Amino acid sequence: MRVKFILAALAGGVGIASAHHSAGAFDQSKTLTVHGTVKVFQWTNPHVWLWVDVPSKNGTVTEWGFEAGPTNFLKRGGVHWDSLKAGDVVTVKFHPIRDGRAGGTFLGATLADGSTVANGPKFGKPGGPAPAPGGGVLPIGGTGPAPQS
Amino acid sequence: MSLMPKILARVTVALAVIVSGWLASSAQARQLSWSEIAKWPDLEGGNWEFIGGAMGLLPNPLKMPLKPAIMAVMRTKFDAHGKPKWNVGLPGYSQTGTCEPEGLPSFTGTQFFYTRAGIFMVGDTDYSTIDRRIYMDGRGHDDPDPTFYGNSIGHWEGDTLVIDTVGFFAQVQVGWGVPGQGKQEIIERYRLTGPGKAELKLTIIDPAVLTKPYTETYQMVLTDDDETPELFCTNNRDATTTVDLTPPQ
Repeated sequence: MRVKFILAALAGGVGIASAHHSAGAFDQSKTLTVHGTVKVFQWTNPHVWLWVDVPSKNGTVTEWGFEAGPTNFLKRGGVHWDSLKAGDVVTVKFHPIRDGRAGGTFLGATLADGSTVANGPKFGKPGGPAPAPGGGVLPIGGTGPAPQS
Repeated sequence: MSLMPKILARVTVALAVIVSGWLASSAQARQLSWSEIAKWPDLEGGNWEFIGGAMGLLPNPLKMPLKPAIMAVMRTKFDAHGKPKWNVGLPGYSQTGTCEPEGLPSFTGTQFFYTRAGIFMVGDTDYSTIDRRIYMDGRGHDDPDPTFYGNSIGHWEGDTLVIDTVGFFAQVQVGWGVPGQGKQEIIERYRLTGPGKAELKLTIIDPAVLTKPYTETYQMVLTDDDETPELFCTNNRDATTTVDLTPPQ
């Protein structure tokens, strides 16, 4: 069973806690980094995706995928479609996917010049969204079984 | 009564029916005037932040007057504090991410736009945008087809905007994890409470799920964000039980 948790930071609606899935597939207790070259920054919904070619010590290259928030959320945090470009050298911070594949939840990236790209606004900062009511954990969307009356 | 007066009476009745029907249809097509719109309390100006709700604006189901059998199911999905028991699955939702709209009242829209065609409530969540049209010209619901956001008619009661909505798909939730089964009626009451502040009283009427109507109140704060971003779900990698990590071509 996949149970994912999306931080309230991924709620695009202003002040509305909403998310199309949970984030249990990603290990929120672990924060890792990889260093590589941006292959593509997909400005898409329901998630922006960052794809990075990460070289290993033995010379092989693995393409990593990082799931960020939706475009509206990143935009409200000052991130735009061209904030990351193919060829940019980045260090990516992320929560890894639990099944060990090359992917994770995007937390932020640092470019070679030291500038950073965050996954949307920071809580508590002016203009940032409010934390989700009742906590920072949001469930998924979709259709489930109706309770029997 | 002779034959002629009878015929005249019937013709008169028939004409009255025709004229009243024409007047009714004229009322449905009525464009509001800017002068009457100018008298409305001003809910426009940007995105409102809503405070409250368990999931979106969906209430905590354990606080709702659910029918006993439904409440028993919800108690298996939520702990005593109203937090989901994640280990038993996500309440009312599938285990995979879809791009299915939230529906009303989970999301009502966060901006108001006043027009001669009615009020539009628009907004964006993390995977969808909505543009609800609230008919303000006095029409009724007229047996609407089901949708995620229903058919909305509104009017002003003093300083309060009252919106009545019916016509939902069966899976649209009235509480977190509680599908309304399509028979729900949602009543929104918006009222300005101060500069940049407002209040929403949300009443859910659903004889299929609730033993009595349930009302929850949300505070609203006007933000300086007036964005209306486009957002379509075109790259959903969460629709299966494993995240799709296939690199883009």
